[in-house]
Amino acid sequence: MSMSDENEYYAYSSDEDDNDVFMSQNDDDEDDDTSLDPDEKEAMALENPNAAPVQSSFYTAAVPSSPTTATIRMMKTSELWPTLQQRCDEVTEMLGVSQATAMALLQSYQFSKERLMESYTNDDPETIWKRAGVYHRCSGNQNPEASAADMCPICMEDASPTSPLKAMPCGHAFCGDCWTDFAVNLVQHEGRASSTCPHAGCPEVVTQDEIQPALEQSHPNLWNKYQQFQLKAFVEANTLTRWCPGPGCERIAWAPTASAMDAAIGLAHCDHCDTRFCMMCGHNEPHRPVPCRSLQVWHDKCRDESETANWILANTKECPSCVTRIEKNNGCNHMTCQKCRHEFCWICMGDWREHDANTGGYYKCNKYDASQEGGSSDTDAARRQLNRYLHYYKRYHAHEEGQKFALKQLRETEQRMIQWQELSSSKVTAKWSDVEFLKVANELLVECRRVLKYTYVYAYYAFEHEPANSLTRDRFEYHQEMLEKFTEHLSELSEKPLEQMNRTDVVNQTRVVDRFLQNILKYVEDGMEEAA
Amino acid sequence: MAGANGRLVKELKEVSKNDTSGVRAAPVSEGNLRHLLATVEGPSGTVYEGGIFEINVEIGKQYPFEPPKMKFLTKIWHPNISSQTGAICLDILKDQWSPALTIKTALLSLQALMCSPEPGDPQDAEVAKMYLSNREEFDRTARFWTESFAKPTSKDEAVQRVCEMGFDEASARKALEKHKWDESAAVNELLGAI
Repeated sequence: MSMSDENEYYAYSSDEDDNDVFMSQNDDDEDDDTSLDPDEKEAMALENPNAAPVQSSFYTAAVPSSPTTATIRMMKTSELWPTLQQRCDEVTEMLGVSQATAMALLQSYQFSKERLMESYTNDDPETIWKRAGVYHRCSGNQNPEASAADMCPICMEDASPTSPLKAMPCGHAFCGDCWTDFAVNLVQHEGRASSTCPHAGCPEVVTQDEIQPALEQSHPNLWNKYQQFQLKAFVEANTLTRWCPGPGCERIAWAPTASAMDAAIGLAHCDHCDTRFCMMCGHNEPHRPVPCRSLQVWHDKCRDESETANWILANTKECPSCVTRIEKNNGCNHMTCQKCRHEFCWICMGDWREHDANTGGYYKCNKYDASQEGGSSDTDAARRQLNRYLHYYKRYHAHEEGQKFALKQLRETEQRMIQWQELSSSKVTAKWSDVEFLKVANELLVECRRVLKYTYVYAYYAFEHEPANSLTRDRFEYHQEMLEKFTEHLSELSEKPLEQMNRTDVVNQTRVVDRFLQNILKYVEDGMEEAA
Repeated sequence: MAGANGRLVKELKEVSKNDTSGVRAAPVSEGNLRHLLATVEGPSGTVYEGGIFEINVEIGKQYPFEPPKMKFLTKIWHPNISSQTGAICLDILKDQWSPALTIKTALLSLQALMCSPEPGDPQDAEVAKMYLSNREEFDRTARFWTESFAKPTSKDEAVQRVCEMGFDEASARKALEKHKWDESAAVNELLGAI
């Protein structure tokens, strides 16, 4: 990014007087340091403690290792094993129990050492042991009726000096062969590591102390698998770890503490398969500003309503002017009918001119107006409910589609960059760095479409009982409208053929759009209160 | 599963004995130890008293590390057993199975289930609903089903009744077996064939 680009940006920014109220405080800082080197300024933006703690694709494109995601690490399973081992060691040391017991105790407390210790100081140890299935292991008391057995209850063969019975701490004993068969079945057929004693109804748990001698020599691969299952249980029970949702990816996201997770808003990025996801709920992409819970409810609702919505969301729409069927094949919602040249908005189907600044309307179609629908009967209420849902779902869906188009465009740009890079080595004038600005713009477009998509889920739940003229709702919709407007603009600019593209325009728009993106996220995450 | 076949032989020897337990099982055909026909006597003092209930038992490859698959062949009116298919809802035949349990203990558990139904965890919702809301009608229906389908003599009686309507014994028995001893369905078929 050159110096001249930076300066042009500031000129642009001061032109947008009407936005000043909603700009973040970063504005003032940066207006004062126009003399600074652009790199320094980017560094400042990153260090600004007031900035929303999330990686913006715009910034991370320039600085790959954003400090905000450094707290969440992606690990291979082999890297996490020592963490589990260490936690067991600590419990072993503090409570004076065996490794196997420590593992079972931790498991019954979702692997939280703190909760286990807290329970040990408050509760009766026997209660804790029984809950964790290690009562006999810890107390040393055997079941009196179990100890006298001389026949293996599984194969029904008598014990002999060559195949002695091996007992669980509870006293239930089985021969070596049956222990091996039991362990093989557990790991290979049931696909898990946890089990209770093979004796019917006995709650004592089987641990690695029993499984290891049964498997390690005879089935080393299954012993390995058993340990993998232990690790899997650890990852799944632990709130600070989560499997990467990327297809076929086996990395684990790991946060050192709950506060580190909060600071990163659960945003994880897998450096192995390049999946970005929410560590808190496991959704396969970041979903700010919607909270995990609302997103879950929304997805359930969409599944229920999909029939209706599908019907409404047929892939084509009629041109409002000449009734030609139109298929949308680009991300921008500004449509021009090929036949009659009528320009309209894909979302509200209104004349595009009404989205213009001149009409004072800008981008009106993000507002759901309940007042348009009268009636007070139950049927009317139900219809209103459905229409309200469809209003938000249509916009959610439109941005989802836009996100796909933007992603496709990004991939194409990346492809072109690679081609140019190859060409440039053979003395062709075009350089890949010449189109890097386009890659940055496309990355931002993907992110904006994604965030816009989720703003509609957010609004659907946040303003359910809010009157149409409420201030918070107005402001939220204003932010949404701004982001939408500038996203459409950038989308339009970046879809032009390369030779018609104005590089400076795109770079400036990218800057502005990124600002609006940060503004809306910050507005929501600060509890929708802002300094007037 | 080295010891599994040895165990199965021992188990079958034990469960095929004529003892007072009221449960028995034997291979359906010679040479296949993994497909059994079991019988459970209806426990005395219950609505199933006097009935002999046939149960199909299939022993899977992972046995005894997986439960045997059991299903009532005889129609029975019970909240935890499907009145249509004979499928059984019993914890030890599912996740509470243990390799230390046997076919005999499983059959004894079925007998215990007949003594104390658990309508809170039903297999057949209609039966469970009747059990909870109209116990008298439930008892009446269950006794009637025991009489009609589970009595050692009930099959012969059914054949005789159908014969009395003017059909020969062989085709009457065949039609009844085909329709799981549902007399009206069997008669309908026989009438349709004329």
